[in-house]
Amino acid sequence: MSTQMNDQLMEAGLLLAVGMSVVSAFLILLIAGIHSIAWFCRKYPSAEIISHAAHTRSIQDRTIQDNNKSPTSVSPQVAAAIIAAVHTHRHTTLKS
Amino acid sequence: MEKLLILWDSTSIPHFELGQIVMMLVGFGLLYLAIVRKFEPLLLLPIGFGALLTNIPLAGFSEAGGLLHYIYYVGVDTGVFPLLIFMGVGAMTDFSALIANPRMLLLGAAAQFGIFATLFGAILLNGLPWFDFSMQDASAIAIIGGADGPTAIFLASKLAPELLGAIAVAAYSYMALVPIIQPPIMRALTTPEERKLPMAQLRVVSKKEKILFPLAVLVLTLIFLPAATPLVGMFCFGNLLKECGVVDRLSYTAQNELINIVTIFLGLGVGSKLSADKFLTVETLGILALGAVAFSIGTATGVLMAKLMNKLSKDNINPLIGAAGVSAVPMAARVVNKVGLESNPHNFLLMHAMGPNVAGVLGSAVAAGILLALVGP
Repeated sequence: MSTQMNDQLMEAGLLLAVGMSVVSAFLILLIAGIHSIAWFCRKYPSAEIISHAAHTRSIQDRTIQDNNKSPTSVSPQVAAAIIAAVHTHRHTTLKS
Repeated sequence: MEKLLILWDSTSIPHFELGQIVMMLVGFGLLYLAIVRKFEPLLLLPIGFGALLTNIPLAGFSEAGGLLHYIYYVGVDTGVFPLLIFMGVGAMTDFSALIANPRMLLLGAAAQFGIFATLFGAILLNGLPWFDFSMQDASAIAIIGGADGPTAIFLASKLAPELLGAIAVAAYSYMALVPIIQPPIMRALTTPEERKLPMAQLRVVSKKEKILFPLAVLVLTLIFLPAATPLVGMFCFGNLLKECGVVDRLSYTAQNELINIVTIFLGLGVGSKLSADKFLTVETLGILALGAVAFSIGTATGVLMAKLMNKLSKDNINPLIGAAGVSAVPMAARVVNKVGLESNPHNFLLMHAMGPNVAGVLGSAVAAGILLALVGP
């Protein structure tokens, strides 16, 4: 093996060590950055999120009320039958 | 008779050289792969057609003053087209899966091992009499392992423009062959039980997080790795256009018209480099072989990293998703989903694989920046 190739292999080894270290360090820093952003967004939720949460809660409340009142609400037995039918359909589709 | 000879001389037939005919056959081969086999048609079709145009005798498409000459020097040689493509890709990318599970970035980092390990392969090939790769050539070839076309073209145009055609063809060919190359490696490195592992559902990511994410990536890049800023910066810009929600028209243009126009010119520009004297060399065979090695090593290290993370983590991490760390968005994620479904028909890994997949895009852009900074001109 020539001296030039030895030098090039040494350089490649150095590039491997430095490159992988820098890529890993950069992406680990980014992980920390993403966690910080998530923490920041939890601490200071935007008005849009708060209103969305309130809206979702009001819909849930209304649904619960409607379910209590409405005679046409889906019974647990009907829901179980639908789930079983969907499961059977998917099973047969996947097999075919 | 003299007129007939002049007419005969003005046709291509007496001017064809064997190399041009072979390269035109290569161009037809690329068109076949694009149209019939549907292998990366958006790029292989213009590249294949560019190869046909550039090898037409007397037409002068790629000579000074020719259309392909200008397209290449305006868009590819300057690195502008790959960067515009990166902006469009950013505008099409949803980072929710990655933001919801940021650890997936480690898989994107692990898969870049294929890039750096391939440097050794390129240098070792110099032991054979037909090869004489410099460290710049080796770096441009190794980036094929990142499985990211624009990144490969960008780096090759900066480090080894004479190898650009072969590198671009190899990069896009291997990206198209992801469903063939990756599954055997994924199966060889995982047990059936590991492939069945279900993963916890990802949390919902707020709009605010999605807006802050590209800005955070940009800030980190400009502080620690300015050489990667052209690629990462354009990627982040495109993503911000999409996520901010106030410039839908610009986002739409970046995702559609602009990226389509640039793709046409980029493909033709790369195709113009498929001339016989540059492509029909033993070096091209070496580049194709090294590209496959880089891609396979990247897939393997991604899967092995995911296995390690699964061992150390309290939550399940299906090792298959590590294979998506090589980029090749979204093909690699789809392959992970398909291989996962073969083991467990109720285990949909697509969204989980999108995390390492987009992490791979960032990882390969960062790796390109490092190579540019360390061995660049």
